[in-house]
Amino acid sequence: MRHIADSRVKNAKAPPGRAVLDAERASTPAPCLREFGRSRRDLDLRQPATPDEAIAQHSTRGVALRAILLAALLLACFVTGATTPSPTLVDLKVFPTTVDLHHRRDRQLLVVQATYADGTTRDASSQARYAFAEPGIAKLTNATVYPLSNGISTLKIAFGGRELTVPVSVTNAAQERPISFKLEVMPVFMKGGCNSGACHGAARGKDGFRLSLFGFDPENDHRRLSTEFIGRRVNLAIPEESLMIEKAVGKVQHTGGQRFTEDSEMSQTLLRWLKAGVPADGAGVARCTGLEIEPRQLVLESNATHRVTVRATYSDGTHADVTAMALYLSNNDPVAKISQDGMVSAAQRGEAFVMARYATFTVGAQVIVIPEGLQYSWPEVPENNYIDTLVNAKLRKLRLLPSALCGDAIFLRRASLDITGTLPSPEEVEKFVADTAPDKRDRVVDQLLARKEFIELWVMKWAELLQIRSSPNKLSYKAALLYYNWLQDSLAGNRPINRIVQELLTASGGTFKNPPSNYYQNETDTLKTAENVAQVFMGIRIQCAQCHNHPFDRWTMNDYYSFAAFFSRIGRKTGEDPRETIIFAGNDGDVTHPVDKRVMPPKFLGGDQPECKDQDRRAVLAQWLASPDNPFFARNLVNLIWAHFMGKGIVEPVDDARASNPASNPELLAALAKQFAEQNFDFKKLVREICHSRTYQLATEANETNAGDTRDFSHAPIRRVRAEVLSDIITQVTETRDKFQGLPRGARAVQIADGAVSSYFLTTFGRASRETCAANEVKTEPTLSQALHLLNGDATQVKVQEGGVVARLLKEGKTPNQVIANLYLRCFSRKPTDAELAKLDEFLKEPGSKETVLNDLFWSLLNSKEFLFNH
Amino acid sequence: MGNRKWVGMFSDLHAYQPWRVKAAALRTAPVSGPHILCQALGLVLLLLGGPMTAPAMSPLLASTTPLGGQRGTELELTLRGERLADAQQIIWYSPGIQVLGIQIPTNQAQTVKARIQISPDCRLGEHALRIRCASGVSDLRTFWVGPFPTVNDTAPNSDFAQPQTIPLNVTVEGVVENEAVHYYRVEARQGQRLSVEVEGMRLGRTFFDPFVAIMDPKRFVLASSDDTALLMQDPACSIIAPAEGPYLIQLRESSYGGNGDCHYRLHVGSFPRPTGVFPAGGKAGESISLKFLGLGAADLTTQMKLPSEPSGALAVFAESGGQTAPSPNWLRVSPFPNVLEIEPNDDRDHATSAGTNLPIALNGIIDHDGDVDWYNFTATKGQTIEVNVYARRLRSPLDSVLSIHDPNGNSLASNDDSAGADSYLRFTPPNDGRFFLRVSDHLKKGGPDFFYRVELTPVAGSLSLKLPDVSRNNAQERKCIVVPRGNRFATLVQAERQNFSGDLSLQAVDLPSGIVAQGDPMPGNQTLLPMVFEAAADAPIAGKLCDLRCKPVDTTQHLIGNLHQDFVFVRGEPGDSIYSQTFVDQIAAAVVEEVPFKINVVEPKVPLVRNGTMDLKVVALRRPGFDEPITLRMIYNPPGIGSANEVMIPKGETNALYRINANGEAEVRTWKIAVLATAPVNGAAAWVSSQLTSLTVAEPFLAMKIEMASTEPGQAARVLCTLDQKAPFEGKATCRLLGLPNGATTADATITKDDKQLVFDVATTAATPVGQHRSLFCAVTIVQTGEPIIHSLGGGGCLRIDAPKPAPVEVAAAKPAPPAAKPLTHLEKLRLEHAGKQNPDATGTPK
Repeated sequence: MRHIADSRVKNAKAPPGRAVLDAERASTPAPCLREFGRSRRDLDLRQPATPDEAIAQHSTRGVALRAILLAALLLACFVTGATTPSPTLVDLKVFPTTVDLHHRRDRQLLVVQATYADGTTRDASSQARYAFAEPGIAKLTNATVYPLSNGISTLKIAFGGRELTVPVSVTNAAQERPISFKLEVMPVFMKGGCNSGACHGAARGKDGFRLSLFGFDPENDHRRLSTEFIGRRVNLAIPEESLMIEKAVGKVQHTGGQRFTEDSEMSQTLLRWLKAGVPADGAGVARCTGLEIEPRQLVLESNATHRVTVRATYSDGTHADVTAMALYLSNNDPVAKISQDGMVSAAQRGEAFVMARYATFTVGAQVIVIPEGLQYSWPEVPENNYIDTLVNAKLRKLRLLPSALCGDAIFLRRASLDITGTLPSPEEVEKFVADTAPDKRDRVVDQLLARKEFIELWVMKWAELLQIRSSPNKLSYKAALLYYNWLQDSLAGNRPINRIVQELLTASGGTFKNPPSNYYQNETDTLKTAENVAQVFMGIRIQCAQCHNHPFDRWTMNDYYSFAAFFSRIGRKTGEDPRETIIFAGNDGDVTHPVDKRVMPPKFLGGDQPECKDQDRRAVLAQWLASPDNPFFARNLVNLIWAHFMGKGIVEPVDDARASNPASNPELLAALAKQFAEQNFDFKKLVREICHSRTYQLATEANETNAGDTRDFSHAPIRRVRAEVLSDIITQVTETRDKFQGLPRGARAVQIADGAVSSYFLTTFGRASRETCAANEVKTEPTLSQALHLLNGDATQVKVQEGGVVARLLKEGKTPNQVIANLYLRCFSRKPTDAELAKLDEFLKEPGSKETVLNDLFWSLLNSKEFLFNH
Repeated sequence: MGNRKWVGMFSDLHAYQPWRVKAAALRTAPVSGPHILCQALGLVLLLLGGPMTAPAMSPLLASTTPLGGQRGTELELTLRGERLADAQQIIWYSPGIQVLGIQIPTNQAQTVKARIQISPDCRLGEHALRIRCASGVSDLRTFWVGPFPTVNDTAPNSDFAQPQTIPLNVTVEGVVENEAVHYYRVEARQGQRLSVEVEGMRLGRTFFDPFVAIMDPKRFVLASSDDTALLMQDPACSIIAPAEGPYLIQLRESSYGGNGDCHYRLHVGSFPRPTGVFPAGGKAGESISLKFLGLGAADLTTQMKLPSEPSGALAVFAESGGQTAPSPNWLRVSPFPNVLEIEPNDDRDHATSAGTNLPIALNGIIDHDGDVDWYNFTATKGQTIEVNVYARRLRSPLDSVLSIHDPNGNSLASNDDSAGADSYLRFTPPNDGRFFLRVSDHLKKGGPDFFYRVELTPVAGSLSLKLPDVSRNNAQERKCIVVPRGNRFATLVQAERQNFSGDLSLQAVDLPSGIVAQGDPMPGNQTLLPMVFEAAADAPIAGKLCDLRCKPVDTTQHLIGNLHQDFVFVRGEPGDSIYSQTFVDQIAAAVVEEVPFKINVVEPKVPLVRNGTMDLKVVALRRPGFDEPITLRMIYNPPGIGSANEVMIPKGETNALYRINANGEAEVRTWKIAVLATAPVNGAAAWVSSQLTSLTVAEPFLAMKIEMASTEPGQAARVLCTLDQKAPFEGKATCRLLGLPNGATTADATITKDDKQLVFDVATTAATPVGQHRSLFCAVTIVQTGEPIIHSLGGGGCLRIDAPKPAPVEVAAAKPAPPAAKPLTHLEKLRLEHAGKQNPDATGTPK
């Protein structure tokens, strides 16, 4: 395959006949018929649309004839290939790789996955042949292993000429395990939707029956079930007539309708529990400690189906197949749906994550769907660094082609806007375009990174995340300014981000004397502080878990309140200056669990429970949070930085990393995070790597394959310039000076320290109000008032006049065409096209002042999309 | 409860700013000169040009230019304000400044120019002043005396590249306009000390929080300062010049604010700028060795003989190389000896011993981060000890935490912030023996200037006085005694007692001639009392500072309370917090020109009874031609007594009734009250007072219960009142039933001292609303010696108006109801309309 693509790249302008020859050569190693199909399509992409045209183009008769014959042959091959594809099997896997059965009811669903040379996967579970080495230990029905007697055996699986073995062990084959309320009954409520917010999980329950939302409080659920409405809800005399079963199976009127059938496993589980006398769990019952979904990655052709198997791990070291009891959902149904028994059905081309939820865990698998019979070949594009390697790897999985490299002028404009928030001057553009050095892009990135505007832009972004904003009776303007200056000094000094974060989180003292302590003055609520820290520094939104276990992630109320406990001992007192607050680490103060009033020990989110005695809890947290040990910190930061340059995070929204919102390219995120941590959290180095990558330098124009891609960075995004930068570049190109409160005239909008400083322009164009720490506070959606403000407001018309750029250029003796070129260069970083010049010439020929016409042109340029967008 | 009291007691100390305290410092400052408190130099009153503008009351002083001056020099002071045309004198609250002459520009009431001479030994720092005019005394403002000659800030100096060049050891006076940054260039030799200090917020002009930095010519900041423990919002810093050459001083508002009122005095020089002194106090009369802190490697020590009188805040000025710091450091002069810490004393085993004799003062420095200092002392069981840490109160950066431990290390008492940032506690030893005292910083910080002094003293009483604020917006209003000739002035005096309770006698000492003060002793359960000052008709027009004192009526108590008067200059966010204020220990008093009105209260001959009201008669004496309305205001309401906020004597009239009332809990006793009166005179408010008048609160003569009555609208009711006669009265008392519902009326009734009950026949009308009307009460007026004693009795009495019984219903044959008109659909209406057009009469549709 590859040599075809190679030829396509290398011989883009070669005569078509040569390409045909290449295609012919590619077709020779039969029986790979699919490849014929692809070659044909490849040809079609580059060849005239019809054979007639092809003939017309090629005078050699022999060649034309050969082409016709070949076309007929290819068509025949394509039809055959589509009906009976037989791609090469390259790998065979079974999930899980071992089977341990622990009691009579235990079982294990196996999924056999075949991987083919083209990267696609198929579910071979039903076609595979199975055989036990030692009979009588276990049996296999519908790819599920059931116990027969105690012992050890091996299951042999054969498919497509390959063979796998799965060790099987069976213990307690004759014994029934006592039913567990938490492990078996609670999952029924989750899968049945009984404890969801719209049903009995509502704060006041539904129709007189309440369950804890998503099962955050099993003890109370048990109490309500077993002690409320005895004889009705639970009828121990005739368990089948308990309302909890009759309603769920639709035997009696139920607002929620029938949730499952009478013979379903869910119904049977409830019945077993009722028959056992509705026992609560004893002390020895294991806890669920983990969940796995397998296989983790599926590459399916449209309309294919594939099973997944879900296995829970318990605190006693055992596993259980919970495929039937897990709740499934897909984040992209049009691409891949998942049924409630774990069957994935592929539909449209794209990528989806299917998730299984069981107990407090949510796990996901990636599903890539490609069109059936797609012809695809990967062009050998250069890779500037590991970023390109990993982005391209993902694109190959998705069968997407990256767009071409953007032009030099576009690159300079893009990099200048992204790195410094400024536009290149006309001279800089011309110099850069004329430069022939092969490393000129890398050099210009390094030059831009050395400018102070780079730091200022990031100080602004951090100021948004830290919500640096004065507010009456809380944070004085002086405190906000000192806080901002501290941030600026820290970033300008190129201090590692983890050190800055550690200093911030452990800050004590006066908010004037030690400005990072403003972090704890800005938000004085313990729970909100914990939420903000999780969101800003780890990209995790734990807000849900304040009241119930997170429905789409692993965070439980225990996690939430244990994390909040790190912030429960922050003392505050008014300083001698009444505007100043002194933050200190107090000796007491605890967070209690709202359900059972337990005092929660501080515990890292998704980590250990550290020893905090006689220590500032915040210091213990900060040490862990900003260390390479924390899996979230580096990933979150690189994702934030990535999103700034690429228009979208690898996890998007950037501050909402969760199992149900996985990274679009986890390998890339991990590699960036690893690199960032290894480079001692030096964010300038990270930015340099991103901007040096070819991925960053791709054109915005999509090709046929990647037009629909919004998450995998196959082409550059078109982004409206954010409010502050837009204000600054309008000021820059018009050569005017702005005045913002608290800053000297001529200061730039990105330098505004206090989020409360008001500006009509910035508000209209969606600047972050810094009222929350959410990264999506910045709005770049267009609005009518933005358009009107640019058309009629003082942002453009007045500034064009005030700056007097046109008048100055004319005075310097420039011709109108030279002025036009200058204006285009300063606004668009490119020269006008001939068509544009011709059009403008008509205006210049009209009687009247040239200056007026040119000023009008300047105004038009400022109002154009090309100016307002970074592309 | 006990703890609450102590916290409250020290709440004022939070805003304690010793540089304002001249009570002790002033007289004991090492540089204090001849004690001339006021310079009454109307000696050369030059009237230039035409006649003086008509004298007006309430002169206003807004500012002085320059803001300060160098000691030992003579300069012209421009005082700006309003209604200053009859200025006669500048009253200085501290010695050292002599007024050589006052000049009032022609037809100008806004400006006064004064030639002043600052004596070479004048105390450095703030000097409070007022202008006394013939018709009034101005607000209090401040003037700053410094050690250096003054230069003015001169544009352009707002650019690093274009600084204003100044010599060393000068004071620059300037104004920071909005977002302005000023740069000054000075030359310094290598190794020379270069210090800067700014007076900004202290000047009391406006909210101005300055920032200062010393930079080298390459823009590197060598030292900077924003807020300091020593000077609060005002900055100071210093460096030892690393090389010979120019240095740049940057000065701006700390948040790049500023405006035309943001004045500063920037001292730039080679003076030492210590941030503290150790030990921060000593025994009165003894000679001690002081070490100035915060000067880096350069050690500066001095020997000093302490004054013989104890002092809460004694100013000491560091001097080195012939240069003096422009503002002082502070220490305490106590009647007991010092103990100095002996390092290491970081644990109990190495505690510095304070010996066995209390009272004692422990002096130490928390000299590095995490440092703790331990002391031990011996005390006897039951002997209550006050333990006071003086650190922030002496402007140390330390935020102290104090605890007392037994020999086993168990904590017996601890405190963090009961005295502002300082710690304070009372400790009663549970047994005889040795105890341990621990001092540390709240944030576990430390440094070479984190000095402190812990005083262990027996509980002692103290007293002080002040005039309370009378206006929310103007802290200066009526804070001096201004008595028009032949008239009166009154003020409330507020006493603060610590560890003492008892009656106090008030005394105004050294009043200007012709003024007499009146005031009863202040009862032990009161903190406020009025004093009235009366000037003779021929008293000379003059003014001076005088003392206001209080002392216990019980002569066995040897306490004296002096005036400790605050003047707030600058308030700001949050919550009107105080940012700049000053304290003085004397009050300005003056006899001023006559005002055209005077008031008297007709002293009531009868008491005000509990739950009763009284109309106090106020009579105005107007000079012919003066008919402005006069506003009356009770100077204060004694506890349990209420009154209208203001009562007006209308234009041209001479009488008003001022209604006052007493609640049921008002103390039965005789109070002294006075009524203040104000009226516009020549466009400004003039204030006078009535004489002090006795007001007696007494028990009511009788009690009454109104029994519930009921009737129907339009019917009569009899309201029975049961009387409980408490004290006999003469003649008949008039009773009026009040609070009746709409339409209900009754006639007044009379009773005598022998009546047991009283009945009102109440008539109602059909309009009287049905329901229970619980608003009834009875005004009983007893007339004694011709004056009414009005009781409000029987409150909450109830008159129930019942709904009349329904009339018997007549059963009449019901007429068949006309058929309800059928609502028509749009289509039906259209049809009808159509039919109407065909045959208009059929539908009645107008033609």
